[in-house]
Amino acid sequence: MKLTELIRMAMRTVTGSPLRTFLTMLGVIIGVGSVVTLVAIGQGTTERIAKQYESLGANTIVVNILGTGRATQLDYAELMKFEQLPEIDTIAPTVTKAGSNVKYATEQESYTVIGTNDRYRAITKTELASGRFLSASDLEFRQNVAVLGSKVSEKFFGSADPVGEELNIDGIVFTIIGVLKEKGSNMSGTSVDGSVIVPLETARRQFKLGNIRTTYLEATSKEDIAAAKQTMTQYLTYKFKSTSGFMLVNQDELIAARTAATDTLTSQLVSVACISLVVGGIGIMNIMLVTVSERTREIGIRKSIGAKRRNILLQFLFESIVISGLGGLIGLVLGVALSLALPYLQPGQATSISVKISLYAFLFSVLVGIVFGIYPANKASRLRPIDALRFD
Amino acid sequence: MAKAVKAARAAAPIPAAGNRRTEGERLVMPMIELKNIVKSYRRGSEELQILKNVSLSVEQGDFVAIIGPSGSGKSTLMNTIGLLDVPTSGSYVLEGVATEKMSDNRLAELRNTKIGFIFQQFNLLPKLNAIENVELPLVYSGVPRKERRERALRMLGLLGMEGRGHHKPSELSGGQQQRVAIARALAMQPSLLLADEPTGALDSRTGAEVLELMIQLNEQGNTIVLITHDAHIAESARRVVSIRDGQIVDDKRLAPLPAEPSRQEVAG
Repeated sequence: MKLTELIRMAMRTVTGSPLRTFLTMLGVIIGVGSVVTLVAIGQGTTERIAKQYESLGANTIVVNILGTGRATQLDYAELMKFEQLPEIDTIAPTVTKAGSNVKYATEQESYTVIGTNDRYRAITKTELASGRFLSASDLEFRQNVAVLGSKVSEKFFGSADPVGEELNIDGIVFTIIGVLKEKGSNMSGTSVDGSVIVPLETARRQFKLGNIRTTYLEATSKEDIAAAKQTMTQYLTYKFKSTSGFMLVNQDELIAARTAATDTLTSQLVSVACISLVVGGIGIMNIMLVTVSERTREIGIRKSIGAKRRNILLQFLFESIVISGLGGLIGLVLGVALSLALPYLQPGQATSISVKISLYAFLFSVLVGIVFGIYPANKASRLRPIDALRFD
Repeated sequence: MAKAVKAARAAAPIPAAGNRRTEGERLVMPMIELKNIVKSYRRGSEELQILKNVSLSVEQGDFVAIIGPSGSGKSTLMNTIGLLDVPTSGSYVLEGVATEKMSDNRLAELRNTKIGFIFQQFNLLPKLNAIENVELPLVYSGVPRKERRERALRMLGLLGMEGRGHHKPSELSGGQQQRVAIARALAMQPSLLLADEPTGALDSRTGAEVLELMIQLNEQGNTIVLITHDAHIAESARRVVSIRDGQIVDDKRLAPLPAEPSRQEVAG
């Protein structure tokens, strides 16, 4: 018999009792559906993490100073000299003050103030929405100028352009010179969107911010990352007379650490879903065994009019495959639908459907049908026509 | 009954089936040749003999009724002739082909091509409609879909079941169901029609109709073996074989074999 014949025959039987078929395939539906969805969530999270760090640039190294006080103090001018090394392209040291009171007219709100230099925007790959970013002369002359994050600008000025307006930060007046585009949170977790950026020395003096805490460092190329890290490690170890007062990380390391955690969780969840697939397979086998004994007479009739063992075996095997395959297909559709809907149902949850894993999950469901269908089908095919006909 | 038979013999032609031979040429060997058939079952330590050394030949074109009370072994004999069951010993030659030691696959093939079964309980598949039921043997012999459908429709038409092709067995009367079953038995144009109490589940009127149909089919050249416990039904046959306790006790010829088998081949 031809394949199409077998599939058509199996489809007929399987759709003949829809409720039973649905209940039988439920395990597979849930199994495949959850594999697809869980992998989509895992992959979506991984991709979102990667995207976050990507915005920093692949060659960026973040230097965090952990200690406080004189021992771990960095000198801005000394630090900037490292730009002359071939492996280092640009350096943007920062000081931050969270919870600064920002006031405009009668409104006020607390935001983070970041003091940095003119390289900051390029390293963090932030775009300007209007005006300009900090310039070298702003730094040199310690101007009271500020660049606003998108949220800050929106809060006080809505959609209007605030360039040229004056803002009060912790009692000191700043002139707005530019506004940044929306960015999302960055590598160290602080959001540029909710910050006010001012010249480094201005921030240090006006807000009495002492030490440079975080420095962004752009290596000349990917190959120079290691050299740049080594240079900085040597310098800081010499300077602090300790190796524990600072931490250097680059994008790849951060992504690897974060994705490793996500991957572990995902693979654990997926293995639970796979167990559900196998349990679904056992359910199919159970029903197929019931079916075979229910349809003993049918088997007898078919054999009496010329069905061979192979015909009966394939008939029942294909029924099992159609049940599991159809269940897999429904699970696939539901899983994809859920993966697409999830970001809307649960804002902030990113999903990314893995075509490869989804396909594997579907193929696995078909395999489940074969593995758990072969025993009942074989049992059916072995019935002797005479015994099967006598059966009522 | 004689009148009914006469009426039936005058009725419209119904396809004859069987191996193709030229008009007038006659097989020298019998269609069925059973020799010393023994069928026994082992139940615990004792051996139960259902068939005790049965020998029987059936000629091409004959209509043989095998009659016997229940438990006489007639059903076992029919299962043996129908290749549904294998005898414990003895030989069975069907159309010159020895069937003992045949593989299951080969037996299935012979059931498919050489034998048309008509059962007391019709044995139609309840989920398939009339056309699909008639198509079933054609499915297993690999006839393409389109041709299958045409042949099934033609068979149903010849049995007066046109327009009922899409009915499920449950939507048909007993007589109609048996007609569908007969159409299925004829679909492969088998050498032998094997009927097991074909009127047993029908009321007397439709039973008589089905019996007339069988007579007609024999008139058209089909070889028929009919199993029954009813002597009246057996009278419609050309030859009556009585079986009791697993042995043939009587063998009477009521009507001669047709001199020349009238071969009215159905196309296809």
